[in-house]
Amino acid sequence: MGNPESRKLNMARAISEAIAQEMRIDESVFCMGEDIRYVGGIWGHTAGLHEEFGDSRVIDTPISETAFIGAGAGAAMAGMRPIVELMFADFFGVCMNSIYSAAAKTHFMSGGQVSVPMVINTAVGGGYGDAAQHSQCLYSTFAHMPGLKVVMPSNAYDAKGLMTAAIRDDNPVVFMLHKNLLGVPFLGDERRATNSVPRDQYTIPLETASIVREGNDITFVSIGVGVYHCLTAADQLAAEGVNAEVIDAISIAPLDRERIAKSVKKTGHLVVVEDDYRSYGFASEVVASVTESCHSDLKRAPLRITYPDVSVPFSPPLEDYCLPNPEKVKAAASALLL
Amino acid sequence: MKDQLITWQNEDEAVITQWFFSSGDTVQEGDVVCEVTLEKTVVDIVATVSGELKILAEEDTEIGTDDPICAISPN
Amino acid sequence: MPGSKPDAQTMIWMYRMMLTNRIFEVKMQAVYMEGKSPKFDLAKGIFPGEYHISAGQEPCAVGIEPHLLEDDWVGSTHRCHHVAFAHGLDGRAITAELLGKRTGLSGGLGGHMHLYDAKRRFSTTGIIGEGLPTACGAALAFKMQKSGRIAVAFTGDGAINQGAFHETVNLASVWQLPLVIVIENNQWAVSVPAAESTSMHDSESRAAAYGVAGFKAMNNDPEEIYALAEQAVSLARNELKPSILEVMTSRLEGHFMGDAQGYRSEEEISAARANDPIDIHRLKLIDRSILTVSEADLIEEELNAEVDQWISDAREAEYPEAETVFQHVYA
Repeated sequence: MGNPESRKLNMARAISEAIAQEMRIDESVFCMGEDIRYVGGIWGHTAGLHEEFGDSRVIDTPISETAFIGAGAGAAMAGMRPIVELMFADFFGVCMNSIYSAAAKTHFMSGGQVSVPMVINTAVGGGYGDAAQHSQCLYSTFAHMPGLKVVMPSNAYDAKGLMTAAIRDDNPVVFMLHKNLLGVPFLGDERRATNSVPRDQYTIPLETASIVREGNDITFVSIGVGVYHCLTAADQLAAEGVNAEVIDAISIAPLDRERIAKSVKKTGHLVVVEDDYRSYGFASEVVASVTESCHSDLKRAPLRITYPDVSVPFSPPLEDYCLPNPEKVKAAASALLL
Repeated sequence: MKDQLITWQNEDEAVITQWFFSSGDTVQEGDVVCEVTLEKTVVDIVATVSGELKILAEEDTEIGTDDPICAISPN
Repeated sequence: MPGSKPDAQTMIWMYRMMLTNRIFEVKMQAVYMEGKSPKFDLAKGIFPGEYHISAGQEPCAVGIEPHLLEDDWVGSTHRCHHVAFAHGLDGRAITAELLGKRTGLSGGLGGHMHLYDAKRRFSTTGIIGEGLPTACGAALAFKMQKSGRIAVAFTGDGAINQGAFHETVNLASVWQLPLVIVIENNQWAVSVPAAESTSMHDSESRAAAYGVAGFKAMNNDPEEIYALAEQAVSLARNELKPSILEVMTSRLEGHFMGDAQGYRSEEEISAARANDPIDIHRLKLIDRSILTVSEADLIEEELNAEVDQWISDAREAEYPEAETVFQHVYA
């Protein structure tokens, strides 16, 4: 009676389950970050870990990102597999050298001698009034640095598989947690991000995009919360006889250019949706990639739905004005298809 | 063994914010079956036995002390 | 002074290592300058880029190395050749790396400021202070692995004002990690003297502020450094206590090759050269009858020949294929 595999988790719980299961079988995996012990991380994604693994493997750090993220890189170089947290991606300013130099460049500069198998968890996204210094996405800021893998799951099933894969990957992986999707009650309520999660361990590949909705008329490419804006817009468009294909990029770096190009070759139209600043971003890269590889398949120039090139305002109507939403996605599609 | 009834055991009112199973699903003892939120605190409602779940209060329902949340038919 | 003294064999080894570095730095200066005259263009010649000469700082490396075990971690900086030689890295591979050749330590991908030897757990970095958190992480790993290994991070008098230094010492202290931070205080951060950049010069007090032991070697003397390093290494290895060892040393050349050092007085530079630690060490060996003059000369002759061979091998070696740039982005 009932499907034994139908257990659902929200994304935060899926991530902590992935970490716990991997920590049980691999002693070299440990977690470091601010407030990850008793609170289970302010995003809830390390809940239960300290109870099971204790102080030696679930470590609260002082507010010293340069030191403890750099230490994560060093520990990784010396045989461990740390999962280190940069609580908000916005904080990269105080410690970027530890990420984009110590972690990202070492394998290359050593001519392949030294690997840095670490996961850097970091939370992104706004829409809940946290203003300019705590609401950013910064996808391309991290994706731009050679040597880093940058991924962001949009749902619990992907989150568990991706986290397991990220821990096992021998590279520094920036694992982005979209605050609107984790299941933290005070940060957003996208219930579609909660879905069935197998109890056993599994992985999903780090470099692969996912077709979350098939269609022939137009391609939507997005990541994180934008995927749900696209799905909502796709439902509305379907009622008007337009079938959109929705791609969840999942991997920001490296980008699954082939899967995206294949879709655009089929549909001839592209809208890219993201909640990071407009210029020099993820959407820019997708458009450039598609233009280079399948220009003749495009019936019209692609459109980007992004955050504008402004810092995140505090006042709610202003923040709403800036954020992507399903209406903006639908309007872009309509503009292309009319 | 008879059905296990799980009720809200707290003085404060709360709201069911998320179910992780549907009625008819098999749950294992120890599974978090749903989340209940009061103010900023999230409380996990845990299956006390393994068995078939029956949801008695859907998502977004407000619950008070002793209100039923779910029942589990042990198997 | 307290602590033990290096035995005769170690004293000879110290001489060999210091001289290897010095001969290397002198010969490589000439190689570096090929193509860079009359116009000093960093891009020109077979040894392009920046070059930071460690002449004068050799005692820092040889005073510490005898206390290290296999699998200890050593992190150094942009001014690293003396540490690399003392730690046993292959001179031929170092030379080839400086010329960007395929036979270099990193196959030419790293260059002078980014020397790595994974087997020897040796790494350097060109970013001031970056090596400190990394070494701290290695020390954390060793504590978790219960391996009895320690991490040594070399840094400079300028770097101690970088946030990474403060964060690292605090972190190593609060977590009680087996880390030794060696401050090679050559008194100059490029052109800025330590007296004008740093408010606290009493290194024991500085260390005490973080709750760690502080040691200070005053004379750029390998024996003095050896004795203090023994204590610092023992604290780390046997008691899992971090410490700071500051060594007053001497930068005999400019910050980088090409630095005219207009900011340093002639007197200061002459005085530094007159107190060359290698000359002083050699005199000790001869005075103590550890080596005869001709034995010392023979060592110098052998090392000259060896370094010449490294350089000619490096000149002859091939550059890596262009596509190599795509090979090591990801593991």
